[in-house]
Amino acid sequence: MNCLQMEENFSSYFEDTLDFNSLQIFEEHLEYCEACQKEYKLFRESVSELQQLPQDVPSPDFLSTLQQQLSQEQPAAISFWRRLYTQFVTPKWALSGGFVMVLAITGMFLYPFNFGNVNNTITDTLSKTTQSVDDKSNSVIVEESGTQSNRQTLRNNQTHLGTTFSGFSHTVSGKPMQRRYVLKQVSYSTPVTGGGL
Amino acid sequence: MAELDDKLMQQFQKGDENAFTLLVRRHQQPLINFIAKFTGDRDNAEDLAQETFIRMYKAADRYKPGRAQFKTWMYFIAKNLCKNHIRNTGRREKFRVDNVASKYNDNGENEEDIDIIAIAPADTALQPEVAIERKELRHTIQSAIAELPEQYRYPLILRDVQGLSYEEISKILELRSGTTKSRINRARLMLKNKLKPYMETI
Ligand SMILES: [Zn+2]
Repeated sequence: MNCLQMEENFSSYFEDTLDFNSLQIFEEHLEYCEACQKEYKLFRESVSELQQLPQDVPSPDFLSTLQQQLSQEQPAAISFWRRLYTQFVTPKWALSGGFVMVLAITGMFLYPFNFGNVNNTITDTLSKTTQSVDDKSNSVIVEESGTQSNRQTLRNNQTHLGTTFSGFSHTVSGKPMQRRYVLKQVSYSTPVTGGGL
Repeated sequence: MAELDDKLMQQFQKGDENAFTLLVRRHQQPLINFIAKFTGDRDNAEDLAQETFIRMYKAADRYKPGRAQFKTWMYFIAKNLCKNHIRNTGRREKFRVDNVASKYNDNGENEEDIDIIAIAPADTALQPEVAIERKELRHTIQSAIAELPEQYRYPLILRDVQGLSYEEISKILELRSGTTKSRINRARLMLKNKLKPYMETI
């Protein structure tokens, strides 16, 4: 084994993956060759230092910022149902008496109407309607986690495209979010296509 | 680990958005670390990581469980975004490790300080001068990897910074394992040669 071949085996020696025969030849050479001793020491130290570089960690609001970005996206898997609700339920409707009427009428078919608690009835009614339309869409709409509600809130506030009904009820209670990172290149707002690479 | 990623992806494909959030939680740290090391630009690493996840989110329906690992896919997208980013912004002037290292560089290098490491026993590691030396060394290493040609930098970071196996790296690079191994060895030798002037003073 000459000095060049020695270098080719540095990683294997460092990671202890040389077979017994090669290991013997390698160590024999290393013992008498000062150049290789010096080079291998440098190699070992460099790789060790590289492996000990401190890890970069995400900032605390990385996930919430991402969720803000994603709230403007539509994964292909659920885009159809998102689109459906975006078209039919808009904030304008949500605030108007007409909207309440429409839901009240819908509600009368499926549910006993309760004047004492209009909001709950409406929410329930729409949830039921959703469920009757499709199970898949229901699982998306009825999610009630904090992050989801924030996302729905954002959808209402920023895009004014519309909202799901649970989004409407969250608009009141959802916390306003801070936006620190803004992707300049990425401003996906196409609601129709599923997107792509 | 990979099976869990696959399961979460399948759940997400069925419409469960929480599954995607879990995937992000699992991979955000290694992804940001990879991007920061690959571009040498910590400031933009989070934006690039966000874009990586957004692309995965949008293209999720095209993910075929079992055919490619989530991780493989993630690094593939991230690497391409990093390459574009480097091309568009130029890496060098943006390179910065951290404030301490920058301050130290402003003061200029000092051979006597560097010698502290050489003569310091392990238990002096907490002395401020030694801490600064370590930061200086790390800064030098980051600069050195940022200067490596991409075909070497990429597998080197996956191996020695991200801790991936040769098998995983071979899949990501679509190379035979022998080629991956020799490329990583070559990358390490390049790093060694770049660090030589610095290490020899230590
Ligand atoms: Zn030799």
